[in-house]
Amino acid sequence: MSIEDLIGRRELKRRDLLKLAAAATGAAAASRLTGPAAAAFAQHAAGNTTITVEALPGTVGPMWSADAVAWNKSHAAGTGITLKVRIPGGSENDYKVLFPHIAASSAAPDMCWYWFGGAGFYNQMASAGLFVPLDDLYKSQGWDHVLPDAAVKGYVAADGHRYGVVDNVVWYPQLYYRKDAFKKAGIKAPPSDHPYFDSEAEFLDAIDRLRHAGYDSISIGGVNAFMLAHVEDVLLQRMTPEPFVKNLRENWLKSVPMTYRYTDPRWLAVNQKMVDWKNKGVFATGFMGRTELQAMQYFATGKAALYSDGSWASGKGMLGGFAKSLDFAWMLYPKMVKEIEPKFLLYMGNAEEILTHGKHVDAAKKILAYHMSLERQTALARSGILTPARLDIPANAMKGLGVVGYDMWKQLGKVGSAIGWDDPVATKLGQLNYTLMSQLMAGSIGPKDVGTQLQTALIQVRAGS
Amino acid sequence: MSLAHFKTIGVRIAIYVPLIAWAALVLMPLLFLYNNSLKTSEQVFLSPWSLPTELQWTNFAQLFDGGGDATSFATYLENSFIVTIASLVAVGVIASMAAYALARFPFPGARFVQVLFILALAMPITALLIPIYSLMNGLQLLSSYVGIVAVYTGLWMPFSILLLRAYYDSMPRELEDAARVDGCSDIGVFIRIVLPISKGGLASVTIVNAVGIWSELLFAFILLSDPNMQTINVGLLAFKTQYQVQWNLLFAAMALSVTPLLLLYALFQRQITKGMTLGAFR
Amino acid sequence: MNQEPDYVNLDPRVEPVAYALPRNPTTRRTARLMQQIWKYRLAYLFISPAIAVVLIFIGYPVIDSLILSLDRWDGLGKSTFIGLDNYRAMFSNTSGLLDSLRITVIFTACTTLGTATLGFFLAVAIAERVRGWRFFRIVNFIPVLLPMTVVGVLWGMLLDPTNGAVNTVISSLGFSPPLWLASPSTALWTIILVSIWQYTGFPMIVFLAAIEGIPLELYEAARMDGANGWQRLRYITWPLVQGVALVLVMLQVIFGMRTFDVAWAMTQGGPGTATTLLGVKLYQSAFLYSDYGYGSTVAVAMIVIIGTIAFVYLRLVRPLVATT
Repeated sequence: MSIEDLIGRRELKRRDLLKLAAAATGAAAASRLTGPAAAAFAQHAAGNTTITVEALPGTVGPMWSADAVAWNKSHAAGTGITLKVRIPGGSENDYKVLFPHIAASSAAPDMCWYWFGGAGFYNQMASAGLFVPLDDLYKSQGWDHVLPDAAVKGYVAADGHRYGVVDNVVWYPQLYYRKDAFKKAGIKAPPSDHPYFDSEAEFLDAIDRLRHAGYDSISIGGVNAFMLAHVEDVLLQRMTPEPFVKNLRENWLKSVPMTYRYTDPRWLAVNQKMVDWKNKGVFATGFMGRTELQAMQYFATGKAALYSDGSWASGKGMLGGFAKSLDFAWMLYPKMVKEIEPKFLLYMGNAEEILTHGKHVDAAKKILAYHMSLERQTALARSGILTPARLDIPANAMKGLGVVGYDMWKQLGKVGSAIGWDDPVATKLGQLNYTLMSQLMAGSIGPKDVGTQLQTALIQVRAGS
Repeated sequence: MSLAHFKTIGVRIAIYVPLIAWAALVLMPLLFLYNNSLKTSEQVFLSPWSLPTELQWTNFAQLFDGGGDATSFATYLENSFIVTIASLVAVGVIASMAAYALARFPFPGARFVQVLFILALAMPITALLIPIYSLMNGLQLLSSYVGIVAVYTGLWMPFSILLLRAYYDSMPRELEDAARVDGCSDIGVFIRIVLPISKGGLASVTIVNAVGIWSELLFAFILLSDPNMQTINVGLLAFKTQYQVQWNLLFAAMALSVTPLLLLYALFQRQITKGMTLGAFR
Repeated sequence: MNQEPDYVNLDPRVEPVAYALPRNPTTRRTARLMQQIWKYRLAYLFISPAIAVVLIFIGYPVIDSLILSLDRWDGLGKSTFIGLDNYRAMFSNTSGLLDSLRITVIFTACTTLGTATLGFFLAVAIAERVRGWRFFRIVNFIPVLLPMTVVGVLWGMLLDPTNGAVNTVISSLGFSPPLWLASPSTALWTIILVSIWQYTGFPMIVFLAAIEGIPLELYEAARMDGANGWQRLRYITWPLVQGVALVLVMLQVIFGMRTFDVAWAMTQGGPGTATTLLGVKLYQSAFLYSDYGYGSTVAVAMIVIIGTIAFVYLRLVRPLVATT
């Protein structure tokens, strides 16, 4: 029966419509079931190797798509390798917890983008043998010399191998501020080349004045507890000596001595400071009920004078995209102790890995070398999608980052950078700390409880769980 | 029981004010959703409650365009339709048969089976995720419609059976008995009497299942790791991801995802209520 | 088995199994059972596909969870047998399981009560054909259709403590507004309200289908006898939908107890642990702490708790149904 017949009949029955829908669905399903197989066959017949790279949507996906276009245009014919990008849907959270399982299954791609360090499941994936060691590529490509030291040394797996390479960097947390709010409150913002208040008192005074001028204080997304952990991280850098943080960052590994503990008064002082700040109104009213994006919105719509977030927030896909209506600049969290200079905290966990389940390891290595080449990293800088990790990129290419992003990037070298605690640390510690930070700021536990619980978890992790 | 019986205006107010208030509360998100789906990203972010200055139909064009290696929403929609319809048919057929058996035949083991379904329902979905994933990996059913449809059929089965059984239990049996007296077999009774009478119940179960299956995220994400196989609600999350949010596309995609369900509901809910207004009585 | 209702008949085309029952009581019982099974073979045929899919996709993973709860497993590598360590950890004071259970029970009780009551009255109103019933029938179901993602974004924005539409209205009326999700003391109530808002449409259409299935003649007869609206609701509608209501409440309780998504989308279990439902706890342990063994232990606890509640509930309500 044709559609005309159906419509022609006076009582078009729902049952008929359903039948039609079912038939259409069936036909579509049949075509989809045969489609990929036929394509794969054609590919095989041509004697080509196809490398599939799995990339998070949003920024990583487009970065790889640009690489794929360039590679397939100029190198595919010569090498017989075609690059294909697989951009799954789903949220970042789903990807983080579920991709490791995909990587261990028959549906694994040849290569992937996945977080270095403990906040994700890099360590578990490495020890389960899912990654191909990249030590040879580090040598042949000279990555040791062109990537930031911390990116090269910070994420060596427990067995001494390096299974991933960092292709872009972010730094966190900065304070973004509204220029109009600072003007109204009569506050002189610190200059770019000295981007922080020189004492906590100065900082607290500025917060007070902003409140008096009718603005809410630091907007921060307390629902995403990693935002709170970032503040903890920045205070650790500002208030405790580097060897202290370094040991705590690494002592979950059995091979590293447990020189310091989480019950150390210095660690507890950091958590106490967060509580003090909360009680003094440093964070905006109701911050524990906002997500990262709501907090950003609270700032962008003009209610809050300050916004605490990483470098990504200045990007095109976030605040940078609203440049027309939003006049904002950045600074760092203040200096807390006289003898410790504030630094940027670098996160260098945005990494690329080759999976052992892939069938063409050599071809994948060629693709990865290309992806990390000066040419592609420069193109990435120009596109402004992400901040490339290579240090030898011409400065003018970095202008792609946008005004605020470029300004911060220029200061990175001058102000200096450090590595935070919560990313390189073991998954269990990092994740537990998120929950503890949320409890601490909700007032249901105190700094001492944070220390005790982290220390208990540390001992468990060291015991080999 | 028509309103003519409610003599006082007070009663009317007591009925209509809450009804309208509830409807307003419920309608608001849909307006919010469609409204924002036609704005620019900046407008959605900075003034989420305002009306669009200029309707951005390009948002939808962009979704269907895909662009680069992003999957077109035409593909996502098609996948969602295939997976949802196939699962609904499988659940509907298998569950109505099982519920009929449970509701009408006191066979040995019936109580045990009922208990089994209640226990199965108690299982938290997230705990099933990894065991099912390794099972489907072993069966070579990853990234296939057959695999995900089978999983959804299993997961939605206990709920559908328990609810359908309640409907069958509440239905009078006289008609079935009469048919049996006329020499109709059990299968005949099921097909010719039980199914038609219980279509309201079946329709309500189907609608509720459709919503759940259409919007399911975790299994769809992990079992269908090939983006060309993924469903629309998995796809739309790609606009709210690390370091980037495309507000306009996120809302347009959500509008696109909700609309078919709305239409499906509009189509099916008539099956629930009696077709006509019943004269003097109503 | 002797008092089978006589409406259950055998397929008349098949000869009844006719042989003398053995004398030995045990074999006699077995034979009787075999006879029964043969008699109801159609029922077994009808129910076996359902049992098969449930065993494969729920039964197998449950057994897998049971075994896993005795192991330590990070989700990828080899698992290690650790006996009852996970259970010991769960029953220790610091696990927070009791607190989670308390939160989950409050959440479940309130959402079940809220959605079922509201849903019932909405269904009655539509079945009564109030003016605009078609409109209400469509509109009231809309929240059920919305993915949790959009619900989280929407209500997050609406309930923003200082920036949201709700509190803007409350403050402009001169009241001091609650902090909603931002305060540990109100966050749980907020997600309860959002859940009631989202899921009321589900009981509504289930009740509606049941009410519409009641033969009109019953109402006609009652009307002849001069019953008013309330009496018809009380003596016709309610008794006939009671069975559906009881099952519905059980389903809502089970769904409530294993809820994960609304809390995860809106608060990620916070502030602190104020909204850490059992489902959130399970997800955190298994997926975030990558401790799948412990996650399975929480899952086993959930099955035991939910199963117990379901059975106590059924025990309590069965006599009620029988008497009406």
